Amino acid sequence: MNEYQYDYKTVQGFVLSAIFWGVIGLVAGLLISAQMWSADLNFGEYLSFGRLRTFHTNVLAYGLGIGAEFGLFYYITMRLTKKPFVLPKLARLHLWLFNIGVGAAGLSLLIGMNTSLEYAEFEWPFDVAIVILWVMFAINILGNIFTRKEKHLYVSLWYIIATVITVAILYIVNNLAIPATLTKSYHLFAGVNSANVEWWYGHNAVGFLFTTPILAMFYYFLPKSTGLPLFSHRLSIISFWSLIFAYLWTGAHHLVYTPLPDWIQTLAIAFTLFLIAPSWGSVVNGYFTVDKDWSKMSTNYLTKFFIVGITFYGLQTIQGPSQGIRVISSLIHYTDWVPGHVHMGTMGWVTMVICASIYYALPAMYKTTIFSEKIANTHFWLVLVGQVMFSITMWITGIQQGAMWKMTAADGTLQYTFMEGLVRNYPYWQMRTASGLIFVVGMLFFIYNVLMTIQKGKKNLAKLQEA
Amino acid sequence: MIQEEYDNIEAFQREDTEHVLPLGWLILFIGLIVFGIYYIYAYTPAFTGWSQEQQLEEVMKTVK
Repeated sequence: MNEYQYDYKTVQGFVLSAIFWGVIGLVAGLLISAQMWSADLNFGEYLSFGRLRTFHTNVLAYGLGIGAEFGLFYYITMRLTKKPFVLPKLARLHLWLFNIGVGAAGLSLLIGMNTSLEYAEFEWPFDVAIVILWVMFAINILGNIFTRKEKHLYVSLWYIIATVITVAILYIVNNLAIPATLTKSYHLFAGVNSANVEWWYGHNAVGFLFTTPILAMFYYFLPKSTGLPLFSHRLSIISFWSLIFAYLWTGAHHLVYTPLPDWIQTLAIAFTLFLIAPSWGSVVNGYFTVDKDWSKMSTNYLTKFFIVGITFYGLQTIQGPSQGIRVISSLIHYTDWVPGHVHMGTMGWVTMVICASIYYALPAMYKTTIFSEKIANTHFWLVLVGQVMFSITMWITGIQQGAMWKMTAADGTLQYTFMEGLVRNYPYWQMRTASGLIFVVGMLFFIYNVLMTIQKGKKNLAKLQEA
Repeated sequence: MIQEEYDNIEAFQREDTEHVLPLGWLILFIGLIVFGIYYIYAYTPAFTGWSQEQQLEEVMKTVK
C-alpha cells in the first residue's frame, strides 16, 4: 500500500467528520434562531436556548471548522513539504479521538457543564483532552515542516505554523482554572483581569481559528484550482508577519467602555484599526492574482468561491475594526448587529473557502473530477443569498436596537422600554431563520456533491490500480 | 501502485510581480501605523488627560 494513500484516508476522514458535525451544528443553529421568536421550541432544559447556543457555536467551531482545518492542514502540509506524515498512525488516532472528543464535549454543554466564558465553555477535563489532541496534531505538522524535502516555505506553511503555535498558547492561558470538582472549575483570573484574558483569547480564537487557517487554505488552493500563480510573494509575507504581530494586542476592543483601564482599550483599538492593512494585503493579493485572467470567474467554477470568500474577508476586516472604535461600539455592541458580523465571517468567508478547498482536494486525492459543477454552482448561489440576507437583516435590527436603547426624552429619561425594542426584533429574527434555511439547503447540495465525488473517485482509483 | 505527483512550488508564485508591493496598499499600511501612534497618544489618560469618565461627564452635561 502506498503511504500517500494511507495519509489521504486520514484527510478524507477529517473532511467527512467536519461535514457530520457541520450538519449537527447547522441544525442546532436553525433551531435556536427559531427559539428566538417562538419560545415553544425550547424542549426541556437539555434543548433550551441557553444550552443549545453554546452547543451551536462550539460544535461548528470545533467540529466543522477545526475538523476541516485538521484535514486540510494535513493535506496542504504533506503537499508543500513533499513528504508523507512523520507518524501516520498518530494522525489516524488523532482523527478517532477528535470525533469522540467533539461528541463528548458537545454533550457536556447540553447537560449544563459550562465555565461561562464565551468560546471557552468546555470544563477542565475537556480542556486537558483538547490540549493533548492539539499536541498530537502539532507533532505531525511541525515534524513534517522541520524535516521537509522542499526548502522553500510557501506562505501557507507560515500561516499553518502560526495557527499551531498561537492556538496552543491562547487555549492554555485562558483555560487556566482551579478545578472544584470533575465538572466545575473557576477561572484563575478574577474580575476585570478575567474579562481581559477571556477577550484576548476570544478575539484571537477568531484570528487563529477563522483567519490564519483559512488564509493558509486560500493561498494554497487559489493558485492550485485556478492555475494562476500568486501575485506577490513579498506582499503575502509582509501581510503575514504584520497580521501575526498586531492580532494579539486587539482583544480589549471587546471591552470598550468597561472598567478595563482606558489605556488598554486605546492600545487595542489602535492595533485593531491597523489590522485593516495586513488583512487587505491578502485581499489585494487575491484580486491581483485573478486579475491576470478574470475570465476564470466564469470558466473555472472554483474561482468565484475564492474571490467571493476573500471579498467577505475584506468586508469583515473593515467592519470589525470599525466596530472597535468607541463611538460605533457604543451604538452596536450588545445588539443583534454582532451576530450579523460574526456570521458573515463564518458563513461567507470560512465556510465558503473550506467548501471550495474540499471541492478541489477530494477529486485531486482520487485523481478524478468533481461529481457535478452544476450542483456546486447551485450550492454557491444558495449559500451566498442565505448569508447576505442573514447579515443584512441583523445589521438593520442591530442599528434599530442600538438607537432605541440610546434614545432619551426631553427630560433625560429613556424613550423606549427594553420590551419595546425586543418586540421590533421579531420580524428580523424570523427573516434570519428563513435565510439560515436557504444557507442550510445550499450546504445540503454541497454534502451530496462531496459524497458522490467520493463514490466516483473510488471507482476511478480502482480502475487506475488495475491498469 | 499509483505514483504521487509533487506540487511544483515554482508554479505557485508569479516571477514578474514576486516582489511588488502595490503603492495604494503601502500608503494604507504606513498611514495606519502613523494614525495608530496619534490615536494612542490622543486617547491615553497619561498623555492628554482624556478618560472615559470625563467623556461621560461631558455627555451628561448636554442632556440635562
